Amino acid sequence: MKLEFKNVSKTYTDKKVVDDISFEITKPSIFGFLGTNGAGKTTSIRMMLGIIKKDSGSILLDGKEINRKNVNFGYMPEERGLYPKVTVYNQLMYFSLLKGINKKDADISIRYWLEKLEMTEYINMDAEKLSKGNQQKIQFIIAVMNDPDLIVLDEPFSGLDPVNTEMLKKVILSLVKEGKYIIMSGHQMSQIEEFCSDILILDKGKCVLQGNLKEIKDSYDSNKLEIITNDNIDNHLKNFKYRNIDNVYLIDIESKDEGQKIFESLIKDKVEILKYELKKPSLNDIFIEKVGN
Amino acid sequence: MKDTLIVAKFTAIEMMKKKAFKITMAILLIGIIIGFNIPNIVNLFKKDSPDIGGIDSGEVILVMDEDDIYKGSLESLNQMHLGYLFEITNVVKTNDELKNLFEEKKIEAAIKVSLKESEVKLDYYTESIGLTGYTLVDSSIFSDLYKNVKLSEYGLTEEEIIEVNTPLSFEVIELHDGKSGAILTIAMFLCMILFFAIYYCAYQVASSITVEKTSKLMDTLITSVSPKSIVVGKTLGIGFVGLVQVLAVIITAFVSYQMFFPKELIVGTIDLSSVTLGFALVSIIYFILGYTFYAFIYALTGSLVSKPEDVQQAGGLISIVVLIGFYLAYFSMLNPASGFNNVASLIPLSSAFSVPARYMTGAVGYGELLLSISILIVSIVIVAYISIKIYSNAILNYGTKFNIKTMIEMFKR
Repeated sequence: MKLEFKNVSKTYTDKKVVDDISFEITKPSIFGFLGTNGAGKTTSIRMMLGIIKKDSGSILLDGKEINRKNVNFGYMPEERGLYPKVTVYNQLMYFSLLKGINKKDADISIRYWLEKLEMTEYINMDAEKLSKGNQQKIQFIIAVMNDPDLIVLDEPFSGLDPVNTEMLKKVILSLVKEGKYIIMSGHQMSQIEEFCSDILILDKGKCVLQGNLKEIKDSYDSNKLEIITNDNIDNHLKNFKYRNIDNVYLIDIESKDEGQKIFESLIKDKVEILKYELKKPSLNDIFIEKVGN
Repeated sequence: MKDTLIVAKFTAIEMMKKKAFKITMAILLIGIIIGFNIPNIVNLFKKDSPDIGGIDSGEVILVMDEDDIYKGSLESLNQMHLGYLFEITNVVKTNDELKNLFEEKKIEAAIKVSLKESEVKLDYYTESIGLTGYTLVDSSIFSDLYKNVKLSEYGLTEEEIIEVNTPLSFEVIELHDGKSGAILTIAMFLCMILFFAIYYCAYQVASSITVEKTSKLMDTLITSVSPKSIVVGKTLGIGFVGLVQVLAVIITAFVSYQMFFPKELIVGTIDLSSVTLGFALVSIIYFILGYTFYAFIYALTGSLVSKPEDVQQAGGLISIVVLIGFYLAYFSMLNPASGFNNVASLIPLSSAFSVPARYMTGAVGYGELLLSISILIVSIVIVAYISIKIYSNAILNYGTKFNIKTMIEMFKR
């Protein structure tokens, strides 16, 4: 399967919300779709899922223009919601039937996913009585219970506690192993960094960065140096911006050479170094550099 | 089509599961049963009547004729079957004495007869005059009795007096079938039932769509099913529930009428012979078409608002339109000869309220019926097209204030 965005644009009342973006996903993986609020992520996703029409460009699946009928997709939107006064089982069954699953298979799928996400005890409870995290898990089940090839997850971890976040992470990774194509949107850069092999960053509708995350990070020079020592090394860092928390020094550097100079200076002064590590910029740093003001 | 039916089934089942629906239906049906039993309930509380001169209520009206102005003729009041026992006396009670009699429930009213400057004066005493100034007996009865006394004094014989009092014969002859007045009562009642049923059900469509929108369900829903299937499915589902409600009301009313209602009470007022199978069919067709027409308009309204509390405000304008349609039909019906009836039967806003009632009175021909249905169906298709198109674009907009300009823009997209 191959998903391609080719020069896709969309304008709302004189405002170009998506401006000529292109990318492709060619193998089962998690693709990070990033951007600030209002950058055009949701509009791009809605165009991909056939909810709204694009103005120009093409969105292709295996070379054919994508539409809601020719792709089996699952979607967990940013705007989450359930029927408040309908039981968990009934709404899962409703969405299953709408997704074309027959009643018997839907029943099996619903029970499988509820058990997998430890939600079986809530099967006959009205959605309004569920906690926010549990409601979110139901939303996730709606997105995946039809065994979709392409899954779009918009902020999948927001509102989840650490235990449920871990549970969902494992499930998402297992879906990739099963060969699913996952597009994940979010603001938690550490989670995107942990999951995504490829990323795209949107700013005001335009693509400002895209590619393989490791390659992107490799293209950046080290910009941080971490030193752990029991000695006071403040006098060695007079010309640098740094912070020291419990003798863990995090120093801003402009290049590897600067780090090397600091290292040599410490050795010369016979400072006992417990840890020395040159750090690449995090995705958060890259994101802020690209879209920050 | 399959998706549409899934949406319709889900909508109908979830609507019928709601407590509010169950309670409303229970109250409505119990209300109907009680309504048809009101005459029986009233009879339970009636006092046992003494068998005096055909008096059936046993309630006493005291008539005080101190100067015997009526020359003993007041006793004849008890032969007139006026529903009360008239106690005639020539002793005039004081106001305090009368108050005591009222408090002890010995009398329902009192009338004092006196002469004032050679004219007969009647003073009617009651516990409370109320808003309408209603009296238990009509003063004309006393006028007629006094006239008879005077005629007798002038020497007329009893036969001559009867001849003088013989009323004129005045009869209204209808050229139609002579009973449209009795049918019209049911027709107007039906017009009101259709109005409430159509209005209530169509409003539910807006409410249901707004719940989905405000529950942030639209993104999930719209990726699973097309906007057209959602709107049409909801309209079908709620329409089905509405039809079940209307049928439940009609069946309960019919059974209650047959089982409990004293038929003699409506002789000459209501004629049920006009309730035929054809009439039932026309009523159901117009309920479905009228509901569908307004449901699509309300679907559009529901998709435009972002908060549940805004539904009423947004629906206000549509409610005015529904009311105009209803009143056009209702007031035209008050004058069956008015040309407005034909207009009301053809305009889609009012035809659903007007035609079934007019069909019942026999005022609608098959040609007019066919034309009215055709116009309504074409209107539904147009309204549905506009509604689905705007719905598709408006449903994912949260927080946008909609006006005519934005609606036109959304329609063009």
